[in-house]
Amino acid sequence: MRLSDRDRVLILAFGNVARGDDSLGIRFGECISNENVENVDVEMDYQLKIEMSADLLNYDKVVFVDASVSCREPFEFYKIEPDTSLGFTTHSMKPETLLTVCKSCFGKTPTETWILAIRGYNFDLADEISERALKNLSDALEFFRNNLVLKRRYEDGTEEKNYIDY
Amino acid sequence: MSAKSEKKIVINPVTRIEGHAKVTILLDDKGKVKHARLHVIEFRGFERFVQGRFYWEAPTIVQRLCGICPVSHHLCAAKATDVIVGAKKLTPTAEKMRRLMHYGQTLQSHALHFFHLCSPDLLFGFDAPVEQRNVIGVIKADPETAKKAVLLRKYGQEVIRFTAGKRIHGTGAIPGGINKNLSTEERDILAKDIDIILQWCIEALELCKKVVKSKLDFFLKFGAFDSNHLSIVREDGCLDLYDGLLRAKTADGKIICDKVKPEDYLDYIAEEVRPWSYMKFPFIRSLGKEKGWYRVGPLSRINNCDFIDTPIAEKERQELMSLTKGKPINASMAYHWARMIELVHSAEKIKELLSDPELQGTELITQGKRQKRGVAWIEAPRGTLFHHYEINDNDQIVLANLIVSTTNNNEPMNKVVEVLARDYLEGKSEKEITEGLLNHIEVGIRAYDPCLSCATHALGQMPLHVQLYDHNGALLDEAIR
Repeated sequence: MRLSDRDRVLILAFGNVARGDDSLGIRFGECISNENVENVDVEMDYQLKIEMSADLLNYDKVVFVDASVSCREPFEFYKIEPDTSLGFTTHSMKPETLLTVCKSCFGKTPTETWILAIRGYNFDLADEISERALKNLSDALEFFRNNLVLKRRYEDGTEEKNYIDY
Repeated sequence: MSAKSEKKIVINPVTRIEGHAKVTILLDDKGKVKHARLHVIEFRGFERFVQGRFYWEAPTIVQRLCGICPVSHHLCAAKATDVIVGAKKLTPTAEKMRRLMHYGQTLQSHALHFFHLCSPDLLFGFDAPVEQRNVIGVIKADPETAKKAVLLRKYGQEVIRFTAGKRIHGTGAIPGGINKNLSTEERDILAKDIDIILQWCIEALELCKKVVKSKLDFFLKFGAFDSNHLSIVREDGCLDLYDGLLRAKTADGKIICDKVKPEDYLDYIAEEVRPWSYMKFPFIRSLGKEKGWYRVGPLSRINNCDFIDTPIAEKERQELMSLTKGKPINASMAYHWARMIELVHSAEKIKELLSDPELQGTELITQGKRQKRGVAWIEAPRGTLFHHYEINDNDQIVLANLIVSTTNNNEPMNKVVEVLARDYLEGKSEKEITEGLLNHIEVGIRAYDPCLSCATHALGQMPLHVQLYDHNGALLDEAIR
């Protein structure tokens, strides 16, 4: 993912914090939200919903962040395109389907969209996250900070720029 | 497979509903339906999850029960904790803010269900190709309507965000009131679009009516069966989605109970457990398990109320009720029509509230004498939702009993499966039972807009899986989509 100074980036993180490792996306979103990353907005929700297609219009690059029951450890990061195949329910949507809705209804999509899938293991009712999932979250955050953060402004006014080409 | 052997049809999972459920239909050796069941195969366990938490955490924690209607749980828990903190009457600002949040939730929930979950069936036909019968098919067929549906949802979400404070884990409602009012800036943003939102809601209702009226006889008979109806209504009989007293009517409109207060619900409602489903079966005590089950949700609310206090929705209610000369309607597909009347009502209510200066009031909280027990209800988009909490001296929850809307509709959903299996599958050979025919069963279930979710949705879930068994349990055929 190539970022430039002008790019507006959305991190769309989702999951349920009462469902053990299903909270991985939200925990990731909260961490990034607490860092002062310029050009990056963070939205969090329980799951992807069809109206979020309208939110995507405001951004050049979008990263969907979710827990995964089956991705490679510790996480996978891959580009996606609009896809008309559906999950079994359309109360919640696949990111690829959301892009299709965005394109069909509004005539455009962000220029690039990616999925950051973080491997989880326990999705039962629980406040806690499993140790293995926590390690995966840590690796995903490190990857994001090292590779995808474009510009970070510190409280003392200094800036750190990180032009990346992933 | 021999035409004279018993066969079991399994639909697993049921699609375009929220959460995991499967349907089993057992046909005997003559092809007659022996039994038809909707099984809920996900265990919630949420009532135990909240035990030990402080009562003031309940309105926030219970939102995690469901990613689809967190606002309903948030508000119902807040209402129950109002009782615990002794807040007998909220300040006008607090009650109106909560109502605004609730109408926003109802608007976006009903819009989603109509446009994206049920309209593929209504617009393309129950046995249209499965690749067309979904939200993408609707968008391809009518992108402008689909866009309006997305923007209706977005508007509802904005109402929720401005009233709940944020998009997820909102804290707008707290025991005894609210923690923020609606700023004039927020009011102006919402007011700017409410007229067009109301117009789109009316268009949705007209579209629904057009489809239903085009085959009125078919829709009134499809999945129809007599039932009791239960909902809350305002003390004067008006439709009220946020607060009121419980009313139940028989299938022909006789009052079973009326003006029941929340704290007395256990005197009127009991729950039965059956071994083949994780979801309980509520019933009206005075009528017993066999005759006491009931419907809830938009259709029951329209059937039960005496009038609606917004002009367009009231006119539409009168038109719907004229189909049965004022008697309750017992057709499952009438849920869609009733749901769209509530969509319009919600938009009318939002418009009314946005012009009320009390939303900018600053008295947000009330308190009174502390109680150990708090019971409340609310009309969630899918039907009556009950929350009951008891606390100890340390303010920790020691008992939680939640009867969620879809649980109230458990027996009716089983009934609609049975009725439709008899009407559409009985006597059919294996080859004749097509995917389109099985979708008829799902159409009946979807009319109730069930939500069986615990909001878990990690990447990698299962697609639809249909299996056909013989009477010995041997798998004869299967299909995955």
